[in-house]
Amino acid sequence: MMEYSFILLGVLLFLVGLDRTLGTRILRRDNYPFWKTAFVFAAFQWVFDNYFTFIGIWRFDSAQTMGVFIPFIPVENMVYGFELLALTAILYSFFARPRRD
Amino acid sequence: MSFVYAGYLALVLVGAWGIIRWGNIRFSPREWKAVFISIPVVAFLFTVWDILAVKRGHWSFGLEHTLGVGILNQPMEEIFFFVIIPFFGVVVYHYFKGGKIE
Repeated sequence: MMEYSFILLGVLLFLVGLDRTLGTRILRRDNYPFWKTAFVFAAFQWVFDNYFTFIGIWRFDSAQTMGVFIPFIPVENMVYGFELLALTAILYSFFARPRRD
Repeated sequence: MSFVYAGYLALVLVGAWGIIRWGNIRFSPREWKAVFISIPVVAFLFTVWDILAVKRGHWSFGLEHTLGVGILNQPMEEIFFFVIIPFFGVVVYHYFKGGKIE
């Protein structure tokens, strides 16, 4: 029952914790470059995910989500895309950070 | 067999290349290193998630719409997806950061 939704929620909380722990500050409200990236990312994702789901490359089980579709993909999938981007940005930023050593 | 998924991935790569080319984005050696460390980690974690999600029935794939080559319960393109899409994300983030991180 809505297993996918709960996993997404758990991963989201994990990412917030990871961002704080590593000190990467990706998910802070004033990190505008990241939110702009997330917006562009989400726009492309929405178009292609819907197309892919429409033609049947991916199929989602509606019992694993809240059942809200926009219009072919579950709304949860936008969170999935965000988490993919956020984890990438956090790790990339962590390893790209200048260090004194 | 269909080239739709593979073609889409190629399109994203071309898009990333275009942003790098015309957005005057330069990756420093440390940033390239960060790309080559972070993206495999992301790809590994999301592939594991994907394999488990298919097992649990959260979603499934229409292999007839892909190249038709499967690895475990994944179409081959899906593995490349988790490399190419994060790279696109890094490039766009770089662009909005004004060409450099920190």
